[in-house]
Amino acid sequence: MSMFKKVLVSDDLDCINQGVVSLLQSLDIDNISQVSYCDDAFLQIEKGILDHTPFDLLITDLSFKADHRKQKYPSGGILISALKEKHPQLKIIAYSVEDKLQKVRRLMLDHNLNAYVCKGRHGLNQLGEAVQEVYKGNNYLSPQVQNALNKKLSVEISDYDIEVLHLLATGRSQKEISDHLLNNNFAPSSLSSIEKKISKLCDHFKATNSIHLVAIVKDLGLI
Amino acid sequence: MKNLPLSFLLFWGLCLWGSTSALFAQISHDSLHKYYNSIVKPNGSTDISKGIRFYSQKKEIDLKRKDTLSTIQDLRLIAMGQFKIGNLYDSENAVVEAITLLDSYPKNDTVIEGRKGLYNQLGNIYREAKNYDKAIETYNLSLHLSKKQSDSITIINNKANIYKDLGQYQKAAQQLQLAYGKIANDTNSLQFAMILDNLGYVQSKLGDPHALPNLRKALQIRETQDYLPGIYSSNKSLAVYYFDRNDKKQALDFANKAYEAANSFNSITYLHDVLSLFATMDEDPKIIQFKQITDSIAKEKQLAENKNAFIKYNVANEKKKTANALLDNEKEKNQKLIFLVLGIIIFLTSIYLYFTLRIRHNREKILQIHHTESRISKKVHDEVANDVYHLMAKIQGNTTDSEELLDDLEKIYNKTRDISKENSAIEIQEHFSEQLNDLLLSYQSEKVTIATRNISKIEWKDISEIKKTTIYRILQELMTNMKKHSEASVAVLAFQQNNKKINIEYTDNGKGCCLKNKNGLQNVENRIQAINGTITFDSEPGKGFRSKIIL
Repeated sequence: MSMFKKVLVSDDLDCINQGVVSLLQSLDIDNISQVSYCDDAFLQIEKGILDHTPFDLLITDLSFKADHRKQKYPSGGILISALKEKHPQLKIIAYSVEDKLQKVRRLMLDHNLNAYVCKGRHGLNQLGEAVQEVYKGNNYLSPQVQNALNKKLSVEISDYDIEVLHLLATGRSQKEISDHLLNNNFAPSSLSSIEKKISKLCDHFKATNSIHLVAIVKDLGLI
Repeated sequence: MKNLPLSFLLFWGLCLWGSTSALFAQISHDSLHKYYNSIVKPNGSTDISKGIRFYSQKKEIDLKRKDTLSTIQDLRLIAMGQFKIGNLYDSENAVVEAITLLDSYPKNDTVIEGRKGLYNQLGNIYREAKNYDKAIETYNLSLHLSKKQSDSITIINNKANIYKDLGQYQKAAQQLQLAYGKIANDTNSLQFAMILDNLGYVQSKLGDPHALPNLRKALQIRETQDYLPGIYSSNKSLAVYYFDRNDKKQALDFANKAYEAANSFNSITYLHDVLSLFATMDEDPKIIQFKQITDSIAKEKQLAENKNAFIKYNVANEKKKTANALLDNEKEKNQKLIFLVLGIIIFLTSIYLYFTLRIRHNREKILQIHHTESRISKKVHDEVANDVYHLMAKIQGNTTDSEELLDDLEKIYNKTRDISKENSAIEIQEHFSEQLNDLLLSYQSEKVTIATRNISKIEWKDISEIKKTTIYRILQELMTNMKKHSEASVAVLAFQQNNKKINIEYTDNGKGCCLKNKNGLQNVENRIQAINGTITFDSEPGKGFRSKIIL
């Protein structure tokens, strides 16, 4: 099984570095370097390229504690954007406690980050998966932040939804709802789209059938 | 009660004072009439000087009483008397003093009337003093103020007299024709006779054939009215008329009639006037020469005596202006000082207020910080330290395997993460609704759906930053609360915007709670109150949780 050959780990907490290093070793990666400052990480990567032994992968934390050393790259985010601009081929995995979706989205979309792994109980396992996925050329997101790239998950109840729920609550069949919507110039009004809509609403509201759905939305005061 | 005798005395004093002044006024009123006549219609040679003395004393009294109008009236009578006895200088002084007083008096009809009379008097004085330009000037001032026709006729006549004196008969005739035109409807009055006489005299000098009829008509009117000074003037004019035409007999005839008239009202001025007419008409060249010399000496003397009180008045006027300017200057200075003082007071007050408010603000800020610190510390203690302690106890008891330990540790880890998240700074971004969506998404899971209504319809750009931050925090805490305690499968957040107000209704289908134990949401309430919003909770065990937020 082939794997990354040369990996750089950047984290200001040694114990975490240790955990990551032992994980990488378990993945048969031998050439592992560790740094505690983003500036060092940048220099190491530059050096590797100059020495014709470039790093294949950077695993970096996002937040670094500021100390006496003045840093050109005070955070992992800045380091990532600088490196990705200069060396787009370099794979980078962010490994952070941060789980704000917007941050994840920005790094993934704006800076082409390869993977985002949240530190936590299962962080190391997820990091292992991430390394393998990235090696395969895929992106990876920890389950906590998977929603970052999936906007459709947000459930916005539209006026159309409310109208359908109202009609449903009056005891109309799906066919009758379709007819009613058609007569009142509500689109879409086809039977299939109504069927789909109701099933989606059942899904959202964890309802087993339309009666259950109406009961739930009534309880919630939506209709 | 002690004050009673004193005030009683004072009352009597006032009554006494009042009665004496009333008495004085009564006496004054009687003598006023007598002395007024002694100046206006003098009978004896000493009448005028007696009148002048009386009015000089009265003037001093009126001045002290600050009765300006009476003082001016006094001065006017003094001026009239002095003029009549030939004291032009004193007369002028009196008029000028009166005009000065009038200047300081508020303008009204009475004042204008008085001013007109004074200017006329002054014009007469200048005429007598042979300062003709000045006389015309002052007559014009008087004419300018005249409203009554009879007044303006008198003044126009006076102007004509000046031109007559100057030998400018054409101009004099013009003025008199003007007056004649104005008076046309009252052809029997003495005023008309005066104009006619003067006009006739001037026409005679100009060789106008209307001269004689006019002179005769004037004499006729005056004789009908038996007005002696008028009869005197008419006769004199006719004498001059015939003298000019070398009709000595007629001339002497009229001159004698004038002499009679002058004698009958016993006036030295008139007598002097008529006698010098005789001198002019005399055949003896020595007498004619004497007359000419006397006239030129008198003229020289008069000119020398032109210590011009009017100029003095102008000087006094200048002085007054300077004094006023100084006064204004002083006032301006005072005003500036007041503004300066006000400005300083406002400045100092604002500095004081600024610092007081700043200190208060700082104190509130510090209080807020302390409050937040103690809240976080309590949270760390209640949620983290307790759990860690339990964990330590468990490990000491050696009853747990490592997997269970890890689970416990993860719980503690997540709790610290939550505390950190709740208190970390949030950057409000351009797409706030997306940011809110992300927040809600991070709480969404297999077990719980978080649905929203109209979140994208809110105009977030109209909402202040602090409000957005508060909304973010509140929703975060509501969600945390929901996740921790409610066991709900669906939570709905309905948004609504009324101008700048945002209404948010939160509903879930969880197990609800007893509202008495809403400790977890105390913080939400604090946040909302801090920005003057309102929040209401509604929940019962088993019936979900509702909350309505307006901010």
